[in-house]
Amino acid sequence: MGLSSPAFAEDIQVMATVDRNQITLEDSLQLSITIQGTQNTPPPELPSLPDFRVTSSGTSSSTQIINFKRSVSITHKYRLTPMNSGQFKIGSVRIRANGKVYSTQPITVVVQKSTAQNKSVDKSVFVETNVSKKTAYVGEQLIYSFKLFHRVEAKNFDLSMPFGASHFQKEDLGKAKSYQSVINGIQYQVQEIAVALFPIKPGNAEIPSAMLDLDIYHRTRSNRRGFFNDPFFGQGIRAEHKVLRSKPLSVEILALPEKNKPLGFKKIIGQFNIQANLGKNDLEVGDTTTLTITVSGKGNIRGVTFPEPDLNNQFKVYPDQPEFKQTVAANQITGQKIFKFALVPLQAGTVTLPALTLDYFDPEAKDYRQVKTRPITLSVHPSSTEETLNHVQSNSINNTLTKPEIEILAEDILPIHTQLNDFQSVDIKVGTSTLIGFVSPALLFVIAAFFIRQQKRLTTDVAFYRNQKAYKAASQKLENLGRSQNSESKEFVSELSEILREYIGDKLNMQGKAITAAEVEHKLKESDYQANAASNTRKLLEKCEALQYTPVSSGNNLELLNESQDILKILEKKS
Amino acid sequence: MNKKVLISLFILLCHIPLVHAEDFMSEIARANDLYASNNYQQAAESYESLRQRGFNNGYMYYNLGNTYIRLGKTGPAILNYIRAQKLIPRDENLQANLNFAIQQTRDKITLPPLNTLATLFFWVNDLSLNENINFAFAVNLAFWLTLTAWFYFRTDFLRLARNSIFFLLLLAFVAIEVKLHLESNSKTGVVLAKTVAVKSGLDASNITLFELHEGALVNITDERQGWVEVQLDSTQKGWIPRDSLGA
Repeated sequence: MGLSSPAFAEDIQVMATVDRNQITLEDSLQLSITIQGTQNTPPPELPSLPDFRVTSSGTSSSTQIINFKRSVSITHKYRLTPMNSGQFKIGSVRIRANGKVYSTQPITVVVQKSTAQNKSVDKSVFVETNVSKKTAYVGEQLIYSFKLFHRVEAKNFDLSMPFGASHFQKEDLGKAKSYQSVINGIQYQVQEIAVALFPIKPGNAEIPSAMLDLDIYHRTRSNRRGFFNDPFFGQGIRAEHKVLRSKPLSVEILALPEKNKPLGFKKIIGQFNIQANLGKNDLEVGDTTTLTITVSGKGNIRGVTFPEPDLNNQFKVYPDQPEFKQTVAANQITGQKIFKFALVPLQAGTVTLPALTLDYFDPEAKDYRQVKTRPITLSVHPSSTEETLNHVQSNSINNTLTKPEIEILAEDILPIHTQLNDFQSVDIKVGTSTLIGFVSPALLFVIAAFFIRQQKRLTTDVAFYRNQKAYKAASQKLENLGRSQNSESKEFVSELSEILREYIGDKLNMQGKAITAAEVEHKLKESDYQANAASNTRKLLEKCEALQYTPVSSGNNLELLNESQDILKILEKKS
Repeated sequence: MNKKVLISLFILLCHIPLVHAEDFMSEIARANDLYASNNYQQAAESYESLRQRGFNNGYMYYNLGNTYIRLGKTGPAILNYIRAQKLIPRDENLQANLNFAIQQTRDKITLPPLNTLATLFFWVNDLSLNENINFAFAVNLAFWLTLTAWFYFRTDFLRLARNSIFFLLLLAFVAIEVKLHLESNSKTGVVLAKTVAVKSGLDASNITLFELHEGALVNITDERQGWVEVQLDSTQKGWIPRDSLGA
């Protein structure tokens, strides 16, 4: 174990340790940063480690009390996986604690190349990658497989399996398989995962090395019998983390030969069969039968397309959406693509459907091949019903009879927005104006509620109604009186007196006409009117009474009218 | 101040924003034309100048996002789509283009799923903050009008309407609060740098926990000393320089 000298500062000590300082490329080492004296520190700042892949393995903290003295520590653990061989220095790790920076001593680590890759050497675990062919044509299916051989328990797999995306298209071949295999008399458990690769351009393609992280468990047996004298308890298990790398592989990709290349060749590569079947060979004009073309085989069968068969306008043809079934057997993608066309004969007679052909390149034979269906003959009888067929182009009713077939050719963004009316700047402010917007309906409600209440009271409260309407009614009457022609008559004074009394009666909710001048003063004072105003009202009413019984008119009745109006205003102000 | 002066002042106050609006409109039209004639760089500059002048519009951000897609800058494109989403959350073209842009990124990180609060107030995310406020305005007005009507007529129907709208009003106020809370607490950032190393602390010398690439969507959980803490899920979080991220 490599141990660096601890850095001391007051009661805080930090140290960096590794579990071993000589490893191979297959191993990883554990770097532990222990901080004693505190547990409240930010994570350690590791130095730059370009030759290692660093992953955190967690932290552990401990608290000990010895002789009533409490000591605490925290350990940050990291797993360092070497990427290259050689001698490397793990620089100082910096730890910030209590406002100070502590550094550990650097550690030197030696990484050696892996031990012999040859599987003939007795190894407990090793990996292997294979590609089915070292030379292949563009579009030909290759199988790239990764195998892990182990004869000890292995867990926690983390596989990185790059395949060279610039040279190949990949298709998964399902889950990993597990089986047993014997090599040089030693039995291994094998985990195998395979993918199908389809080369996309000619040239030398390299498949980079695959890397597998895993933990293996060695059983160790101690000599002495353990607890209960049972061999089971004498066993121990030692875990070891391993990083296994495969060798990179190279594949030579060949372009498809130009010689014998069929016209309009659609880059179908593999080995295929084709079959054609007709639902019924004996039918009437207007009946429907289904022509089924089945293409099966191994290779890029997904790319096979079939145009609508040209049947010289003897049939209406309705194509259906092709069905595609893929199976993976023995690490090979095989499949079946079924094309269906509904045929409706337009004329009676014996008709022969011509043979349909499919051109493909056979990489085994290194040449182009053609498969074809057999011609199919069918008898079409005249229609037993006199229904005439509507001769329309089949494409125009495709949508009603067949499922729409949409082939995604490319993807792109949808266009920009050009409606200028929608380009109004949006200001999002939740402030005073928003508050006013919310409060103002409430204020309007308060005002409306006040008026509604007033209105209701006017209809239910007689005293209130009389009080509210008194001034307006009296003013109106006085105005009418002022316009009358007999302003010097006794009736004028009598009416004036009556208006005043009615006003006061309305205000005080009493019978106004029968009230005397003295009572008026008394009642007004009782109702908290000013004594002066009450006294003036009494005087005015007395004056009116006196004039009513005087034999000769005084000639100043209009002055009395003005005086009455002033008194009304004074009394109204109080109310 | 006589009536004429008041009227002139009113016209002037109304006129100032209109002049600005016309400026913005002509600039928008120019940027759209530049985009249509495939001058994407100039179109982007034009939209960016509008943004810097305080013009805030969902469709402008959407168009800017499209322009960056055309320029091959996935990070700024996603950033502007995210900005647009706050203002026009129900726009289907925006959602389609945002998904397209995310598919162009290396990390292909989609928007984080809704949290419990956002799930409970499911409609809040489909409305912009302004729409939430306008909805509350309308419900508030309806409530006081119904209350006034009930005060006058006092029928059972109006009482039921008053109580229902009052409940709706409370819900609308809570929705605004939830929207404000979601927008201030769950801040989404977009990686703008080609590759950025996510560190365990606020310093480049810290351990690299993982790497993110242009266009990766992250949750910003903290910001200190020119570094931001980003989180992908409960286990993947770390610090990246502020200038490598747009928010």
